[in-house]
Amino acid sequence: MRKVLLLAMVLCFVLAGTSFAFHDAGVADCAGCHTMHNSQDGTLVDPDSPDGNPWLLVDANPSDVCLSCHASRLGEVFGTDPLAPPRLIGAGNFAFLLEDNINDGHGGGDTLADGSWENAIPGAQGGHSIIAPSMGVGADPVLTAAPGGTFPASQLGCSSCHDPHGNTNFRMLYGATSVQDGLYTFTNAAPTAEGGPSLFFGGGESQTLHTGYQGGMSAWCGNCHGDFHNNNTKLIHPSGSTIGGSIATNYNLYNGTDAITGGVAASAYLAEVPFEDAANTATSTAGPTAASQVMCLTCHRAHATSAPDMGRWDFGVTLLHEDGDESGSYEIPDPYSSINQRSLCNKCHVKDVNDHLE
Amino acid sequence: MNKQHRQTSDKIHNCPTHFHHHNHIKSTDITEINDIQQTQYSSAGNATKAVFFYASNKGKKIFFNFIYVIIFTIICTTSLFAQSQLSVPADFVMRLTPPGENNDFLRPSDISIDKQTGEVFVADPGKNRIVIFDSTSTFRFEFPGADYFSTPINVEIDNNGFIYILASTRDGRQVFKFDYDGLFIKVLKLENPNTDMQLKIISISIENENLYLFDDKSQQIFVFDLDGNYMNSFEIMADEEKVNQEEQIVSTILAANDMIYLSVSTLGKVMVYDTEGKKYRSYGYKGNKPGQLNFPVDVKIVDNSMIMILDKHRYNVVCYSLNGKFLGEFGGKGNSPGWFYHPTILAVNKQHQAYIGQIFENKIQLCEIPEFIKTQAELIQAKK
Repeated sequence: MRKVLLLAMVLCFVLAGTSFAFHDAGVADCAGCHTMHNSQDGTLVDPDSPDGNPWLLVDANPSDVCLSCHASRLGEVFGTDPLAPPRLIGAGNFAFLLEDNINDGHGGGDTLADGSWENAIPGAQGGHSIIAPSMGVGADPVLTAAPGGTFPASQLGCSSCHDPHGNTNFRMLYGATSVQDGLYTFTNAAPTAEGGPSLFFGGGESQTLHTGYQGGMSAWCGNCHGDFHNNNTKLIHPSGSTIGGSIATNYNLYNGTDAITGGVAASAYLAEVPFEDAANTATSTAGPTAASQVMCLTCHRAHATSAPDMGRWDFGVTLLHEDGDESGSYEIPDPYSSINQRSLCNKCHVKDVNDHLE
Repeated sequence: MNKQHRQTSDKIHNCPTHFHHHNHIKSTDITEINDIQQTQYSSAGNATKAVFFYASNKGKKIFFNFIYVIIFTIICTTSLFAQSQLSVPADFVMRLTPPGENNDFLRPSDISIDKQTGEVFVADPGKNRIVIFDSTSTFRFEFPGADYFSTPINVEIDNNGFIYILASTRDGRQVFKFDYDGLFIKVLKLENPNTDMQLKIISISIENENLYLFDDKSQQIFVFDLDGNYMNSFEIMADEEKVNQEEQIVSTILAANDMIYLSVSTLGKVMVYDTEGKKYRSYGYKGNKPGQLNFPVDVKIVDNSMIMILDKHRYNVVCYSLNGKFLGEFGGKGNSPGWFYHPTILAVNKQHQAYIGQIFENKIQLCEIPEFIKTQAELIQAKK
């Protein structure tokens, strides 16, 4: 009998929940996200879904649970203010999805009589539109599937890319596997990159502490976006390709519009225009070699930015300091802090060689 | 003793352990024994008597074990039933909205009640404004962040009616002081005297001419006077390992009754410190059942008799007496009036009604605090 009572007491303690932090050893405790019966003490865990949620989740929108911790802290991926976002880390910030207009091209700030924007590009076009009602964002208002692929926009959330149960991949990105319990299948492996907790939880991105992209990123993005950029026959900018000697030389010499040949290879790395190379580390400062690769994240950030198409810089402005002028949105910082600085496309292509400087 | 009887007797007595022995005495065995009694009645000697005695003893044991289990089950069920009786839906009163078309809140972030007038102040980041209602929830006026800030995060009112707003700017989060008409007075220059690092203020609270704030960078509570002069600071969870400290999410700070209440969401509890930084106690523990906390994000003290804690992941308000007794809870997940979805804002007005706010659908709902909870709290307070 004592054994029965002891067992019952132990069970009571176990079922009563633990006093550990939500994350233990890298992943959350199971009950933080799942419920076995959608029922607790005779009441529904999720009354909105009486038949239960897919994958026994307690919430129909798992991203809302992720963002309870990771929005303003522990990565700060979804700030409260798109005009004053948290310190920048590699993937950008979902706060920009909240913007009403990020169009800083010509005419981007024109308004109608009622005060609404005439040529607005809403923030949803500046990032991956994850579904997180608790943060005020939902499925992409325009796209129904990933451009270049078939991943349904109506299912996009944190766990579309990141494995909530944890793995050893960079940023817990999925490898070649089935994701969201069979909703979709990734065929390409997770990218290799460096950028540990000190970058993720510590200070923001800098020229000496940044994600060190090593390989496989473009192919991984292609899991959802197909051969979107890796096809030169369609006059599309290459991605996942070696950059070659002349581009590498441009990159290494370029040190801003004011000093287009003022750089040296040893310190040429620009965190705002990263490239892939097996030698890259989170603290490396060297520029590329001919064998280094251009990738999707050379020009885009994975979460969101305050530029259309998740641009690392606004592709629509002439001078970087003009960013935010038309729309009133966040001005993406100019890494060269120069009134003359033109588009960062020039880091590789140096087309600002003949500019008239002020 | 004939052969069959011996076999049965051996079956009982040759069991390797007492535990197995018990298991062997099941209905089939007893039936077998009964059969033996009928067919071998003439040879029913001492051994048979022993078997009967044993079977009868085992029956008693099984019976009493069964009774114990029933009693234990009844106690547990009653306890759970009592708990679920303390968990009720919210009694919806009204939805708080500013007047006019297309003028609803956009991602509301905080509500504060002026203790003197009962006026209700709402921080509305999406429209960068503070909206003020009177004590009956009727719109009074609003004022914009304008050139001062872009996103109000917290709003607090001091005893003189001055309005303090924690808001984000391009230079980081700052605290602004406005007068009761919404006229700008000053920016409080709040600095950590121990380092050059700028404070990363998560939440502010005002009591007794002091401004309390939680700094996420240093995991410290800072105390300033209402002009922004540094007075004191102390670390929270100082006994925890650094890595554990840094992983905790502190959602809000509340200064009340000369105590500081911190919603430590990840731990599922509200921690209480005195104003010198000494840990006083905590409320709640992590769980999903009535009376437990999964992800507390806001806390309020009502009438010095009750502590109300808003749980974002349980979608409800959990109430305890100040000595920690669970009084009851109200709310639940849903879209209809009186139901919540990831609520993040809690305030209690002078009529003892609760405002519960959330970003989803930009809702701020006024709900009654269930009578049984208030009564319980008053009874406990009266006893005290």
